[in-house]
Formats: sequence, C-alpha cells, structure tokens
Amino acid sequence: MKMLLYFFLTLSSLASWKKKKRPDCSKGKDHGPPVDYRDISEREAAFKKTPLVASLEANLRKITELTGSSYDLNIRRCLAGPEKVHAAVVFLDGLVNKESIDDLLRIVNLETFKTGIEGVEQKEIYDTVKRRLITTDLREAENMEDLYDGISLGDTVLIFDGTARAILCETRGWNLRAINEPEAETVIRGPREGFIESLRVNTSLIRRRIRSPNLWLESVNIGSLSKTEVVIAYIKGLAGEGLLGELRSRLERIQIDGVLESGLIEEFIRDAPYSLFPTVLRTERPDIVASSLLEGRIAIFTNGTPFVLLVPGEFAMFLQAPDDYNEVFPIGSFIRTLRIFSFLMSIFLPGLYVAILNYHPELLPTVLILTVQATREGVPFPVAAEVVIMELAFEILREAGLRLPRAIGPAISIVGALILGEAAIRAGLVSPGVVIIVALTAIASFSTPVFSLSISARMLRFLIVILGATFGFLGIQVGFLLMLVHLLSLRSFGYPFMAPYGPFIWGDMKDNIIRNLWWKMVKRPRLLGYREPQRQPAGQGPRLPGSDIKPKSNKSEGR
Amino acid sequence: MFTEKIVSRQLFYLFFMMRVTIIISVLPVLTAGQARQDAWIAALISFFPAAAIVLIIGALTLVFPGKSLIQISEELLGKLPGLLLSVIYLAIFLFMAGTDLRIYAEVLKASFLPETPISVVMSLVVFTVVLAIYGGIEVLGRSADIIFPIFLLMLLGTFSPSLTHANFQNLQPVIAHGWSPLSLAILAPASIAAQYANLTMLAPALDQPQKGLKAALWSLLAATLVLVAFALAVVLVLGPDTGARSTFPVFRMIRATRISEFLERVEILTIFAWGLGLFVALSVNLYSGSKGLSQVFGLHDNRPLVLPMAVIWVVFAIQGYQDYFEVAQVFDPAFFDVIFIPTLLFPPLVLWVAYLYKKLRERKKQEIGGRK
Repeated sequence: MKMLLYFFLTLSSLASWKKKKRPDCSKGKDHGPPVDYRDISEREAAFKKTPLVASLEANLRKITELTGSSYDLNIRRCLAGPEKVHAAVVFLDGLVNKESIDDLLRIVNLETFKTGIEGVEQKEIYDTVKRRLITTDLREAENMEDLYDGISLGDTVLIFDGTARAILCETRGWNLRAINEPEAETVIRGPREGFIESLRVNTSLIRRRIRSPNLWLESVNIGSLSKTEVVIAYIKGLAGEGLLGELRSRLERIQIDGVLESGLIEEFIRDAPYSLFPTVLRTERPDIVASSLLEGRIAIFTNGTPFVLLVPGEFAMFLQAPDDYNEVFPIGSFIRTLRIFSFLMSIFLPGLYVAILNYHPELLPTVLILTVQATREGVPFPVAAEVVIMELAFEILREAGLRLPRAIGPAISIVGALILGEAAIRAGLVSPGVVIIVALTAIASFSTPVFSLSISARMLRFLIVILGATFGFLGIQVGFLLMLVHLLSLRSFGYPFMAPYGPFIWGDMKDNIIRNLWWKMVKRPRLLGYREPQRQPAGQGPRLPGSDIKPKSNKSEGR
Repeated sequence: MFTEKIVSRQLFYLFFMMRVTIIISVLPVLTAGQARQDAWIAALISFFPAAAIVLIIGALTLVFPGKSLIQISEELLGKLPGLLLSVIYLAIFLFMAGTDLRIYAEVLKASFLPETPISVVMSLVVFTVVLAIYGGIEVLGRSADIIFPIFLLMLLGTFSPSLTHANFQNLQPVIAHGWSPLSLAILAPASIAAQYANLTMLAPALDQPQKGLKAALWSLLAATLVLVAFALAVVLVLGPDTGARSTFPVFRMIRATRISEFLERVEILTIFAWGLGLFVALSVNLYSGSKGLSQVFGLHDNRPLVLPMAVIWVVFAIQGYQDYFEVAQVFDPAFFDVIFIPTLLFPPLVLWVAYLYKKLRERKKQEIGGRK
C-alpha cells in the first residue's frame, strides 16, 4: 500500500515537472519554492541587487525563484560545443516569435558542433555564440534586473555555464491589432492610419512620415512595477531645449507603480491640475503628431496605448482638425471658423436661452417670444430647471451610449431621442424650445475634435446656465470673463495656453481662426519655432506658366 | 520668480477701453456744461488739456523708467513724505474704481436687474476682477488683447445703426454762442484723463517702460475720436436738448435706434461692451492700487492685498453714494475741476518740483566741483 502511494506521488511530480519544464535541479522533490513572506518592495529591492553568477544552475534557480516558475516561463536546456557546455535558453511564452527561437537554438546547438570552429571551449563559447548570433538586436545582462527587463520585453536569454553574463537576443513577436483609422478622430480627407498599442509600431509611423535623422526618440521607463516604456519624440534643433529639459525633469519626477495609459502621465506633467481645460493634447493620429513635431512640439508615446501626448498644448490646437489642412484653403478656413463658433455655442447657448427668457425677453422679436412662451404653457418647471434637466438627461444618454455594447447602441438612441424627447414634450414636462436648444448644443459640442475639450465645455455649460438664470446677461458676461481670465492664466510648460489670441501674435493668426494658404504660411509659430522662424521660402504662390515674375498677390510675403 | 511683463500694445488697449467706457457712458461733453450741438467740437478740443494731464503724470515714467510713482516719491522725497504723497495717490485709485463700479451697477439696476441687490451685482463683477489680478498683470494684458476686438466690434455695432436715424439739422448752428459755453464741456472729459494716473503704475511692468507714455497718448487720441463720433451721433439722433437731459445719452440714442424688427434693442451690445470695458478699468485700478500699496509696505507681491482691497472697494462703492444722482455730481465741474484734478496733479507736480530742484542742486555742485 505504502509502495503504491509512493509510486503515485513520484508519477505526479514527474508529470508536473514535464508540464512546467522546471529545471531538474529540483529533482521533483519540492513543490515550488518555500513560502516567501517578503513584501513586494523587499522583493523588488532584492531582485535589483542580484548579479549573475558563473554557475548555470544557480542562475536558473534564481530565475525560477524570481518568477515563481510562472507558467509562461520557458527554460530550454541544451548543450553547446564539443565540450558539451551546459546552456539554457529562457524566454516568456507569448512574447516571443517561435521561429526566431528555433533559429537561436539551431545556432547554439548545431553551429557549435561544426568542425573547424574555434573557441568552443567552455571559457570562450559565450563569445563565440555571441559573435555568431544573427538576431537583429543583441544585448548583454550582468544582473537579474537587466535580464528580466529583457525577458519581459520578449527577448530570449542565453545563459552558459561558467559565464557570469547572459546574452539577450531580440525575439519579440506578439499579436498586434491592425493599424486602423481611429474611431474617435475620423477625417474626410487625410491618412486613415491610427496609432495602436505597440510603441514600436507607433514610433515607426512617425519615422515613416519624418525621415530626417534629426527626429530623435528618447526613451524612459516609468513605473516601478510596470516599467512602461515612454518615448519622447522631437525634432532636434527645432524643439526648444528648455522645454525638453523641463519635460524630462517632469517625467523623471514621476514615481508610481504602474503606467497603464498616457492619461496618467498627462496628469503628472500637467501645469494646472485643477483646471477644467486640458493643457496637454492627446491624439491617436500620426499625422497630427508629425505636424506638431514640425512646429517644434514634443510628443510623448506610451507603450500600451494608442494615445500620444503633445506638449506644449495650446488652446487653438484643440479646435484644429486635419481636414482644415487637407482641404483647400477656403473650405479649410470655413470649417475651422465654424468649429470655433460651435465651440462657443456649446458653452453659451443654453445659458443665453435661459437669460433671454428670464430677463431680456424684449431682445427677441415679439412674434418669436410669443411663440416660445405659448409652447411653455403648462410646463411646471422654471426655464433654468428645464434646461438643466434636459442637459443632464442628454449627458446620461451620451455616457450610456458609449458604454453600451455596439449592438444595443441604436436601440438606446431611439429610446433616448425619440421616446424620451417626444414623450416629455407630449406630457408637458419640457417645452419644445428647450429640446431644440439642448439638441443644438449637443450637436455643436460634438463638432469639437478633441473629446477632453468638449467635455470641459459641457461642464462649463451648467455653470453658465446657473449664472444666466440668476443674473441674466450680466451673469453670462461674468461667466465669459471668468473663463477668459482662467484660460489666459493657464500655461503649458511655460508657454501661454491661449497663445496667438492672448498674448496676441499677429503672425500666428494665419493658422488660427482661418487657415491660410500653405504657401503663405512662411513662418513657424513664433513662440515654439523661435529657433528657426522660417519654415519655407516666401513667394511660392502660383505663377504664370514659364514666367519667373511673381504675381502681384504674393508681394506681401515674408513679413 | 519670473517677472511679469506686458507690451505697449496691450497698454494702449487697456487705456483705450478704460477711457472710452467711462467717457461714452456719461458723455460729459454733452451733459456737463452748455456745449449742446457743439459737443463734438468740445470733444475734439478736450484732447489738449487731457494730453497735458497725461504728460504731467506720464513724463515721470520717462525720467524714471521702470519705477512706479510710489518708488519715485520715496526716492525723491524720502521715506515719510514720500509715503504721505503716495497715500494721496492711492486714494485716487480707490475713488475712481469705486465710482466706476457704482455707475455700472446703477446702469444694470436701472435697465436689467431692478430686483437684484446692488451689492450682489458689484460683488460678482469685482470677483472676476480679483481673479484677473490674481493672474497678474500679464493676464490683464492678454485679456486686453482678446477683449479689444470684441469691444471695438460692439462699439461699431451700436454706432453704425444709429446713423440711419441721423438728422443733420441738429448740428446747426455751429458755435452760435461763442466759445465760452464750451469751456466746461472741454474740461469735464479732460479731467476724466485722471485714469491715466494708472500709467505710473503700469509703465514699470512694460517690457520697454519708456514706450508707455507714447501708447497712452495714442490711446487718448483714439478715445477722443470715438468720443467725437459718439457725441456727433447722439446729437444727430436725439438732438442737443434730449441728449443733454438724459443720464446716459448713448443708451438713450441706441434705444431710439431701430432698423428692422430684429435689430431693435441693440443696447444690450453696449451694455456688454461696457461691461467688458469696466472689467478692464476696474482691473487696472485694482492692480495699480494693490501694487502701490504693496510697494508702500515693502511687500514683494501685491496678491495678498487684492482681496481685502476689493472688499473695501465694494463697500466704498455702496456707501460712498446715496443714489445715482450723487454719483453724477462727481462729474460736476465744481467738484471735478476744483477738487479732484488738483488732488490728482498734486503728487506728480510735487515730484517734478523735487526732481528739478535736485537736478539744479546737482548742477550747482558740479559747477562748484568744476571750479575747484
């Protein structure tokens, strides 16, 4: 009986050995490491100090101790060279490209046995293999920290017995989402590419657009546990060095366990943390990032998110869309002006409605005011309450529409828009005027290209409604001035947030309320591109065929 | 700490809006004195005495670039006499801002918010001003950049429709009673140039302090032209008698304007423009006042003083006057030209005398030194 039990135990431990591919140094005797009561910070600290040693077994034991022999950790043992030096290949399954691992093993196993190869003794085999490896990226690790850094990025580690170092081969390969057009930032005319969750792919999208060697990418790791790669991209010689230094120091100051989205970094590096307005622009579009880099801004890529941050943020940037630049000048200018107008409308329209109905009905023509008042007949709430209720209902609808599974989306919009709106009017709970105003405001607010700005406009709207309901036009004016003063006192990395408007810079107005002709935008933005103000030579306007004489219209160039 | 700077363009905007706001709302060329249909001539001539006031005050900024009047008086007169002189000067800012605030609140009360207590209206306006000053002089300069075009558009929007109702007969006869009836009408807008007392406090914040006076004079000229235009418009639309009798002639004129069913009641535009201008005027006065006071006390920053000062202002604006008619008496020449202007000009004149005396003594010393 006792024998039988013993037999089963051995069998099960054998099975588990095979499944987990644990190193045979354990001999199937112990089931995992002894209970470890060290807390995370102690573990991290211990792990940082540990150097690699010359013994393969000791190194492997440390690795399993470190990772708790996680199920995706693969350790392939092999022999190298005629002296049969013990070696091991360590990688994390799922992060690596299996084919490159096969290549790697072939080199280690087969190449070293070929006759006529020098340096295959135990002492030299490490260098020989290192020389013969044909992977793209090769690094060395001398301690556990570097080693695990590599493994967690999808590298494969080669450890040889007798050498206190390890080779890290680049074998990254995991499944990525395809490059699609970002859903939140669509354009009519313009590239359809959007960033994805992989940092490498994202930076490559920028590299492909700006092929200058002066596009520099600096990498930092943020997050004590997540060790997220964060890359600062800028054009060396164009981006201000002071700005760069400030950004670097702000990034280095961040001490957190994990960075899962760039929003976290945004909040750490923002200038006015309590402000409703975003001072850092985020985008999913490579063309926006590239054009901002050309203006002298800095982009911050975060691994694991398609959202790239752009600093310094400027208010005008939040109301610009790629279409403005891609469409011809009159159309681009028109849509941009329209957008600015609708942004203002999305803040002030409900407040104005309330103020006019409550305090200044004489402003409207008599017929109109009579019509509006007639529809308000029997509505139990004051105008302000009506507007606030409807606005709130709309905000809830919008938020719900975002969270719902896509299949139920249309159903909700039918319920929300048709049934709720129609029934509320029929029941006499709200007046049609308010529904019109709320709908107009909602449409206007969706024309703001950046969500973070449109949401701040939505929040301000409630404040303006309250001010309009208590003080009429005076309240609206005070609200306007408060917003203005707040916006004007904002700075993004030392750059005034409202830059071309206040401080007023005439030279930059070419690209703000309207978008001027491309060949007339001779200068870079003045505050950002101060290092080299000239963007392109002046006077590139259309000419008569075969003539070198400039047409009259671009004589005003180059001022 | 970084130094906050504005540029002379922003200074121009600030002074232009300040002056136009007050001068248009009360239109003293018409309401004070007997100029009647010749108000626009009075407005034109008023540029010269106003410019004289600006020069007396502003030339100090050329002689002592980068220094406020408070610092200049301390340098020239010594600690205690300089302080006494500064206090007179600071009281002027308090007086001007309080009066401006009261006028604005009265207009709002009369036209839009009859039920709302005047103190609430004032507090609301002053609250925005306080926030602006907390932002600093830079924020003030930048808001001038943005507000100025809006202000100008609104002025145009109120001015141009009125021309459709113009009756050019109202202008005749030109200078029928000689020049003497004009004198008071000239002095009243000129004495509102007291606002340029702010120049001695703002000029040190300019990136090129010596350009301040030039910008101030240009703004005076521009504001004078606007004044001429509005004086003309009021007389053309309302006629000299109705215009002179109303408390706010420009509002009266705009109310009389009606182009179509949709474009009546454009006075809301004026109120809005005026609100913006008043915001600027109050902010500048509050900045000057608090900056001056902080220099008197030797503080580095004026921000801690802003809120308490603002509260005192609201109290002054409420308690200082019984009703609007008392406010209107401020522009009465008997007070304005006899008491206010001498008080205003006293500190700079004293400083000029002190400066010239010092210069003379230095020259004498040099001569003596030369002889030796």
